[in-house]
Amino acid sequence: MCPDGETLSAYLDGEIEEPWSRTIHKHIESCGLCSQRLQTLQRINHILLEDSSPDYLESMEKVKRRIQITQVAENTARVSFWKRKVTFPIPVAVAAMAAIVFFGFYFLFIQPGRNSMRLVKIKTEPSGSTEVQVAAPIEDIEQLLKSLDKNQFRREVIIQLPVDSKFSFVGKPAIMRETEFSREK
Amino acid sequence: MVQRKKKNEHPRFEEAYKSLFPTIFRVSYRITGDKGIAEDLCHEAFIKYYEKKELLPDLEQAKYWLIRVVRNISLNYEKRKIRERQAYIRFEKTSIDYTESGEDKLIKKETDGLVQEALNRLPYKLRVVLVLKEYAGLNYREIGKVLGISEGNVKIRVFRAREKLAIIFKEGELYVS
Repeated sequence: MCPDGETLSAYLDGEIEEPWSRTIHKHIESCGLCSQRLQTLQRINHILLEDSSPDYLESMEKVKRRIQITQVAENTARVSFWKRKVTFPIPVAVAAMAAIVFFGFYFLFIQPGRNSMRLVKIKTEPSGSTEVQVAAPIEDIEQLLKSLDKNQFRREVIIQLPVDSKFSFVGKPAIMRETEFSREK
Repeated sequence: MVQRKKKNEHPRFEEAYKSLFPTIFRVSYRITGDKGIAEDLCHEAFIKYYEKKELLPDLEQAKYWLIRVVRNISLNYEKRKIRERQAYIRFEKTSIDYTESGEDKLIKKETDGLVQEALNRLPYKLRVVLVLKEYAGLNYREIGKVLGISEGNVKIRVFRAREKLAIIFKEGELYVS
C-alpha cells in the first residue's frame, strides 16, 4: 500500500522513525509511482536550496550600525521629571480617585450656604412677590436667557453686568468689513 | 569601566549577532521576500534580544527565540501587506495606466527571482513552516515549538507547501522538466 503524501514528505525530511522508515524505503524501491512522487519532492527541495539568498554581509554591517545608533539614542534619551511614569498599585489608585471625587463634590455642591451665598439669592417681599438674584458666570448668560424664556411664570428680569466689565471689538476691523460690504454690492 | 559593565549585562550579544545573523536574515528574507524589510526585521529582533533581561542558556535557544520574534514581527508585516495589496487592487480597477506599469514591474521581478516569487505566493502559514524547515534547518519538533503548533500540524503544512510549490513551479515551466 502506497504511503500518503504527508508521510512521503516527512520521510524525505528524516522525520519517520526506524521500523516505518525502512518499510517505506523498501516500498519506494519497488513502486515506480512513489519513487516519482519522492523525486518531485526532492526536486522542490533542491530548487529551494539552490536558489541563492542575497548576500548577508552588507546587511549585517548595516543592521549593526543601526543597532548601535538605537542603543546610543536610548542611552542618551533622558526622561524629564514631568514625563516620568509614576505607577501606583490599583487599590491605592482607586482609593485616591474616590477621595478626590468625594472632596471635590463636597466642596462644590454640599458645602453649606456656598451656592445660596454666592450664586443665588432669594428674597420674599412682604407683598408676596419673590425676588431671585442669580450671579452667573458670563459664559452661561445665553443658557440663562434660554432657561428664562422657557419659564411660564410672570417675571421681571434685570441683567446686571459686573462693574469691572471691559468691552473690546472682536472680529475684523470696521474698515475691512466696509470694503467687503461695498464689494459685494 | 562603563563598557565592561555593559558587557557583563549582555555577554552573548556580540557572539549571538555574529553567529546567528546569517540564519535570522535568511529566514526574514525568505518569509518577507524583501531585503530591506528583512533588515528591518533583523534590526528589531536583535534590539529586542539586546534588551532582554533574562539571558538564554545557549546559542540554540537564542536562535529559537530570535526566530520566534522574527515570525511575530513578520506576521504584522504580512497583515499590512495584505491590506496594501487589497488597496492596490481597488486602485488598479480605477487606473488603467498604473495597471500596465504594475505588470511590467511584476514581469521584471519574476525574471529576477522566480523561487522567491513562488514562495511569496504561498499562504503565510505554509510559507513560514517551509522556510523554517529549509532555510533555518529546524526539524518538525523545533518548528512546532517555535510556532506553537503540533508536530503533526507541521508535517501537514510542510507537505501542503511543497504540493503548492510543485504547481507554481510547473506553471513557471522553468524548473519542472
